[in-house]
Amino acid sequence: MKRTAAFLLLTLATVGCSSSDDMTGSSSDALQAPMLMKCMPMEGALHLEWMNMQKDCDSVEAERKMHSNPFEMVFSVPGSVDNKMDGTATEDMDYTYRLRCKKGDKYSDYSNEMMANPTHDSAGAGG
Amino acid sequence: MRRTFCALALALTLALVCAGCSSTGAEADAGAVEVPELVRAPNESTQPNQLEVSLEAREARKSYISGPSTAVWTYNGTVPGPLLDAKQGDELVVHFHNSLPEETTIHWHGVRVPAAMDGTPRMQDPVPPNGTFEYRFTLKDPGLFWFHPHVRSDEQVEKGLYGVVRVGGSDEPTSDRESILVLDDVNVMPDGSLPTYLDDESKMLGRQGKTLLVNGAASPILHWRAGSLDRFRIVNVANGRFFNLSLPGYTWRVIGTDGGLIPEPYDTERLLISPGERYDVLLVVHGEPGTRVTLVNEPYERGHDTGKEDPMPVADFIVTGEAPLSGRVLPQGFPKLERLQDGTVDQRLVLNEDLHNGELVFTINDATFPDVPLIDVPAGSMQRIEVQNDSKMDHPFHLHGTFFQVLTTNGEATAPERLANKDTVIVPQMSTLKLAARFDEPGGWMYHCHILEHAEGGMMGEIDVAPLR
Repeated sequence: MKRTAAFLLLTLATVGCSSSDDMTGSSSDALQAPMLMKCMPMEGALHLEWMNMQKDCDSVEAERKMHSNPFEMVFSVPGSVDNKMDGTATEDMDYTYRLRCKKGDKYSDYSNEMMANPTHDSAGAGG
Repeated sequence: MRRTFCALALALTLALVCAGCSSTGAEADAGAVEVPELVRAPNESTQPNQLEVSLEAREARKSYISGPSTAVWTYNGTVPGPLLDAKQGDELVVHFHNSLPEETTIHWHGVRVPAAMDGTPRMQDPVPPNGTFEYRFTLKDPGLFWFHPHVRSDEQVEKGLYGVVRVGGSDEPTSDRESILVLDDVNVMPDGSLPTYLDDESKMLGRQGKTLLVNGAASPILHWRAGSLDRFRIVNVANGRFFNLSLPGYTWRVIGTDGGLIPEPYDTERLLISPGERYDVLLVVHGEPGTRVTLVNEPYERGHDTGKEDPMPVADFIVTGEAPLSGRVLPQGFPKLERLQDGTVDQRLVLNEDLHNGELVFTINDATFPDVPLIDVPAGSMQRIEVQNDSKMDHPFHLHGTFFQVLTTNGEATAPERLANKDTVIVPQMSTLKLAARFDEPGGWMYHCHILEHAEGGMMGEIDVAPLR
């Protein structure tokens, strides 16, 4: 337990110390965007996994685009959820996703983008 | 400001690291709880050969981890519920009262009961809020069994509704100590609540919590005595998590499973227990006083990259300072088990997972419960059931009302030392098991995947044994 606490503090200290004091591009009340970790084929559709960098989002919204069409919202899940299967992504094409956190009427920036084809059995790629 | 914080944090870190290096075992255990013993339900009967108990399903609060407590559903206020401790041939009478805000039942997992006592909605109207029901049946078989609801079981079991039935037999192996370990996991949110939203990963794998529990306690310790022959009776009551247990420096001597003792005990480094299964194992404790060994849940690939998960500590076992015992030996064998006869396949079940209208479903013969075709079999008949898993994940297959034996796995006959009476068995991904079961008791019996989210998601069916009562 003590070692775990020590490790956490050491990590915190290291991260904090290596950050420059001018790393304040975002104001303290700006919501942090989720980090998209996986976009992979599953059961003929696409499964997404992400990390919620903001712990108190009301919801996480996902947007999806196909071909050169604009992004459109495809699902919304509670803010504590960190995965979702998009059961509507079943065609032989590339689907690109991005996420954002919503709290009240505020939104975070968009996450990184990831792209995958549900008919290709390979890991998702960054967009 | 940040630099000041950094300096303070680093100073505190160094202090903690130094303190950690010099800490004694006792200091390290501060706050850790001993594995809680299950509390026996008091016997209200004065009759010989009868265990009569009262069980109330009711809400309570429980502190799983530090922080806010969790609203749980319990039998008699505890998670796990009380231990029903009986012996083979006893009549069990349970006066059940439902104080929950929704209907429920009690299913006696692994116990061969009359169908009307099995707690499935097919054979028993669910007990409404503030309703009562009397369960009454004879405990025919020795072994370790458990009980839980069979209504919205994925949610009700996750909230804490489970308990254990231990039925002693006439030829129990001797041991210096016997411990029941009820394994579960729970996902406690920062506010103490359990998640109410079923995310897709939990649909796919079953709910898996970040906190592992032994008899309701997180990260407990167990003190044991060097030289002691310790018997552990382990049940996995988790919704979806498979426990793949290792205890460094030890080999498990497996002496029994779901349906009691097995004729030829065997040794294994890893004890794999799927949801619903039980294992009965023996170990001879070794090591100097203070020696600590951690029971670890090792990764196991049951599909969808679950084999890449990190190992998780389950409990710490610590050798006490008592004088070592000596001369304890592990048993070599128990009475023979009648091997059920092989024959042509009578029933064929194909397990799979699929998307229906964008939603994940779990199918048997391409249908979801209650649309899975009913199977009719005559009472007293032996059935060979082929269970073919066409999905890319393992499914623990559970059959109500009777035991079965695994005759073959992918066409290969079960080795004599692995012959056992089972009620729950892992059907590995892309594999086929051939089971044999004798259906003596008339009534409607369910079979299903014991990943409870899969059962509720459609992977469940019924066998009618005629004549129906």
